Amino acid sequence: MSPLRDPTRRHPTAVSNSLRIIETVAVLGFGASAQEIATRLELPQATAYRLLNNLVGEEYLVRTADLRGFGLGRRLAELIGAVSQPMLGSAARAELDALRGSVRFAVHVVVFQADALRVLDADPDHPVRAERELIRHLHASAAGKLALAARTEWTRSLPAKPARLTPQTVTNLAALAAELDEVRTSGLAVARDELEAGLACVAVSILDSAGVPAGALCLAGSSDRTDALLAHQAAARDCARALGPLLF
Amino acid sequence: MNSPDSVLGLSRRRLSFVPVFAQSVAAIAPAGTAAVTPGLVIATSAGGGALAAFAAATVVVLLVSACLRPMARRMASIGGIYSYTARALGPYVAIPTGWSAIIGYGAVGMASLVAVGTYLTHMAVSLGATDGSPTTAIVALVVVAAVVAVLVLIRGIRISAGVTLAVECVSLGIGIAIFAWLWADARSSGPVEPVLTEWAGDNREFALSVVVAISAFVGFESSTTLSGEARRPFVSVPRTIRWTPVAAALIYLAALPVQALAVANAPPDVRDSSTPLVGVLIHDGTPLLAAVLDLGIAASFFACLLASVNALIRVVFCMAREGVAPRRLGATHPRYRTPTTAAVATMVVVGITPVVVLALGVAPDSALRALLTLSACGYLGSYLAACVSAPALLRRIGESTPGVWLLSAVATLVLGSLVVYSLYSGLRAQNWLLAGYLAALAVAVATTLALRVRAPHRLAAVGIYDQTQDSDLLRAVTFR
Repeated sequence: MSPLRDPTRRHPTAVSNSLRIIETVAVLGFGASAQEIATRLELPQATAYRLLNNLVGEEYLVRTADLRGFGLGRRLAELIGAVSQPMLGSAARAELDALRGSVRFAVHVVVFQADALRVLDADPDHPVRAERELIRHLHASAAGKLALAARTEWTRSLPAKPARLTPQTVTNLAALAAELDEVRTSGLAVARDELEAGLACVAVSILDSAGVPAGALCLAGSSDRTDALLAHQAAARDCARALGPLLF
Repeated sequence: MNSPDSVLGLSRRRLSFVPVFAQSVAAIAPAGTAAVTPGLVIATSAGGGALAAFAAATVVVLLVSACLRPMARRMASIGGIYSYTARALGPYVAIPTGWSAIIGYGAVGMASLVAVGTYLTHMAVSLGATDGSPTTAIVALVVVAAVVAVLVLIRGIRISAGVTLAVECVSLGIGIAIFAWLWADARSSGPVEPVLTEWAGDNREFALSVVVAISAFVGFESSTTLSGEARRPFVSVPRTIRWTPVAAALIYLAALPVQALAVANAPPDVRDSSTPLVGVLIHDGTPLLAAVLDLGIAASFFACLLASVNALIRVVFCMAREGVAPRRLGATHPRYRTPTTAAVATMVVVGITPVVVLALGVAPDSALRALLTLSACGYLGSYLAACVSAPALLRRIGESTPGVWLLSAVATLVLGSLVVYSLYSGLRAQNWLLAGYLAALAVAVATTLALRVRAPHRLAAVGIYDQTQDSDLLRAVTFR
């Protein structure tokens, strides 16, 4: 077979070498140097440097503070999040069941990823409404606002022009910033008719061991019953507090 | 010492490619420069010599660009070349380099202010309303332009980048239209070929013409100062540095023959004036077109002012955060996340200097020429440091290649000999500005040495840049 028609040769080498480099950085750990990577992969140094710099440019890898070493970049988070299997222990499930038994709204648990949400546990009795939008559009849901509020550089998790999903969706970044300030002080986020017309959601953060919000407990229901949803916030906070050490 | 927080306060990873590109384009000010600089080179080297000088300048600038790119791909610099040099060669080289860059950006900012004032008032002359430009009018316009500029700079680079790109596009459009008209006009009035092959001056003058031609490209590197604020800086900044000099070269090499031809066909008094191109248009009885050209040049220089000072305040901000400039200059605006104090302080200096110079009775075009010469010195000095820094930085981070060493050696040799030669001949011709530039560098070296004795920890802090932050890292989501 001529080298031109062999699919394993030519162009794919740069792609596969890039993937091998990511793999090597993962194996060697944070701070692996360009020379170590080149040696391990038996790549010519100039080739390794070029591919490494491309990967840093695309933010799949990052450089360490002394610029000599490399680590895995946040852009890989989606890749990894997509294949990891969520699991909920029996203690956490018992907490959730207790809350679900006491309220007549949907109770979901979501976790924060780099620029998206992931539904960790959906209420078995109430399907997650607008799930596609929920996981993609952080500015439009209560849980998404908690995820944004937890970040200092929250605008990086949003596109330049956040989508207007309903007439109520807050798309103005300044207005959103003001709302996130409130969310940070109250620890509670509300989205009414913002994700989907007629849907209201109230969410509280679930903190990880370092006290950083890593997920959210959401109560969702019809938007004309927002007051009833808000009335459950104390119970939701208690449940979220109990879930933190069980989940993260 | 160098913590991830050292440049905290600036906006981070927000600028898309267009504003980053606009920063470099506006700092070159291709429209304004294309109308002014080729004329200067044609005056010394004639049409053929000028074409060759611009071609040679393009090669030199592309060499500098090639040296800058490997650094821009690896380090998110806030202080541009200053920060690269600091990481590569340490504070003793970096601080004089930073001063050199500050002189370059600052002097071009002052020159831009003078140009904005001169060309705006010249509109009245072109239209035949007045005979000359009164200094008071120029000074008033300089002050207004400086105030508007500082407001735009504080409001943020996204706004200023948008304004600069729009202004540059408009003035470039005006320029292209006028050049097309001039070309059609000039072709009908005389043969083309002799004008473009004519060669004046000796090798000495040719070398100086190359330096003047290089000064038409300076500013292309200024987008490196936005590396911290740009989205995907390791892609957008190198791309900008690669393509802006190429685009500028194309514009100049197209504008040059037109001007050579137009000026060659003009009477001697127009040919020897400080603004031959505008002179040609007035002479040809198209005052409206001349006024439009004035406006285009003024707009281009205003964009250049914004871009140059935008880069300048980031170098000052960086030095302030390190402690080698007053710490206060490191303050940022809580909402717009721009270096506010540095912007105001810098603009006061950049604004007041031309006002004082003009008030002392210096003619606007000699002030313009002097400031542009000074800025060229500043830029070339920092470029030279950049060429030396490239392999040193790569060696320090363990990624040097023979190619970079070769590139750096060639670039340093070519640029270095041009700089040394033009400094030598400038000093021999008793151009005291050059002596002033060298004196400023000497003061920079002396300050650095004084710091070594009195506050060595500040020197140790030199070289801050936008480091990888926790939020850039992959934080694995753990499930149990």
